[in-house]
Amino acid sequence: MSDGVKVDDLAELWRAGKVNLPTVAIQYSEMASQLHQTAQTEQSAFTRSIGGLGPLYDAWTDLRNLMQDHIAVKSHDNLVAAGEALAWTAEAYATEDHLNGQQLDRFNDEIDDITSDPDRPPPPYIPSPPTSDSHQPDTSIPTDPNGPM
Amino acid sequence: MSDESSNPVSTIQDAAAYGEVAARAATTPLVKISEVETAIEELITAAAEARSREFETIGPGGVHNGEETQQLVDSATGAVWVPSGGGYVRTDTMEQTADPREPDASAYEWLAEEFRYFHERSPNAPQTIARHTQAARNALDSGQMSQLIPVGKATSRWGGKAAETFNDYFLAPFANHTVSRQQEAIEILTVTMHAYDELLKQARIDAVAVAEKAKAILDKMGVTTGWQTGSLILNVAVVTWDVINTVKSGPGIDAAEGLIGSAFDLAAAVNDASPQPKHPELAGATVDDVLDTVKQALTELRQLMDDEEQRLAEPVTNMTELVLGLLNSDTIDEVGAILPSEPDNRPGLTDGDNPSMDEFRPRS
Repeated sequence: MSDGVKVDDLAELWRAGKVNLPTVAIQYSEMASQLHQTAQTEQSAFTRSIGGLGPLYDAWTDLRNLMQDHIAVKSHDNLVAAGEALAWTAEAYATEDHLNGQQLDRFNDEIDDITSDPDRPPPPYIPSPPTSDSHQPDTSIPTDPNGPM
Repeated sequence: MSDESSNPVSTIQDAAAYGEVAARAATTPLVKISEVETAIEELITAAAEARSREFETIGPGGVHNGEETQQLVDSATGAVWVPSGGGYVRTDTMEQTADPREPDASAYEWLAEEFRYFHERSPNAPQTIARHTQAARNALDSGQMSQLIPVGKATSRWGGKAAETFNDYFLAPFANHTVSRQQEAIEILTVTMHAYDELLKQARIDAVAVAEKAKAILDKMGVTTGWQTGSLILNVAVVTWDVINTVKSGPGIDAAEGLIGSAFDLAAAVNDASPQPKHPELAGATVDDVLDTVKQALTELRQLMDDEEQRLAEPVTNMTELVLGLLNSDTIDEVGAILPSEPDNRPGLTDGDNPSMDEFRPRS
């Protein structure tokens, strides 16, 4: 079976798992981060002196939290996990007798190139996206002497 | 990946309707809080001055410190004031006061509190929030998302059951549908913040209109005799309906399909009656009568504002239920419509089991 295996194909599969999908995952980290930042001004937007935050606040923050925690963070995690699975597949196939010694060396060289060649994208840093549990809303009312615009 | 995967990030085709909502909010004038406060202060002054004009001289009241004093009658109540020790005494209650003809603005400071509800929330805040939600949506339009293209190419050289399930349950739905559905769900957060921004702005406009109209009526009292009246237009009543209508029938109608279309359909079904701006009337023959109608108009404005906010919440709640319905579905296609598959729960590669080596089919 190893006769038909192309080292480049395995290397690209590894790259898909270790570089491409994690890069996409980063966008979900950014999405979660941006949604997270909405909490900084929600008190100013919704607080009223008679008390309470109004009907839109509950509905809006419910959806915001759902999109942040269960969509953005979860998508991020699933993409990273799927990437790990692809990389595992490539590594396992390469190392479990499907590549001969020379091919395995080439495969490892390809991986080294992917991870270290300055002309190639480095493995992405994947920040952990914030969740709604860590929201630190600004509870102050604007104190600008001119008042809120 | 299917042919559609050549453009792996399927975005909302036309966001013009949402842009129109944002544009509406952007073009609605922003009345600064200082302008609202000025209008309220002028109303308070007008009320105090109009009240002072409600006292008429009805006869001499004697001499005090060498100056003639006058008996007064309150034309609003019929009560009589007589001079007493440099001030006045109301004869029916024996209340001692200063000269009631001197405008006393402090008697009307309560009006400022009546207006607070309509200007205390900052339209700047919804705008800031909308910028973040738009950035969240745009993160999924980033060029980085094109990294899905090489994933599709890499996995196309891989065969067998694991490869098929990876493509069927993860890559193809994610690239072709999931991202755009996620963007739609975020888009509604942005649209409602723009609409809420407009609601807050319109509330300030309407509140200032109440203050200015009331001032105009009070300014005429004692100058033009008799019943004074003036009508208002409270446009805050139509903000949400206009937003729903804009999204449903605006130039970006294509964008109002899918999840967001459903969310607004449900909201529109609840809000199918076309509302009209409200026209409360301010009127009265006395300052107190006029200010009573001011309070009634502000009560109506507050109720309209709360109702509009409630209506604005409906499509958001609908979207939450739609997304939760997909996430909690037993059908993999429905879960995959909103979330890339979880490797632990899905068949083949994505079921958490290591794929069989036999499932890797090298390029021939």
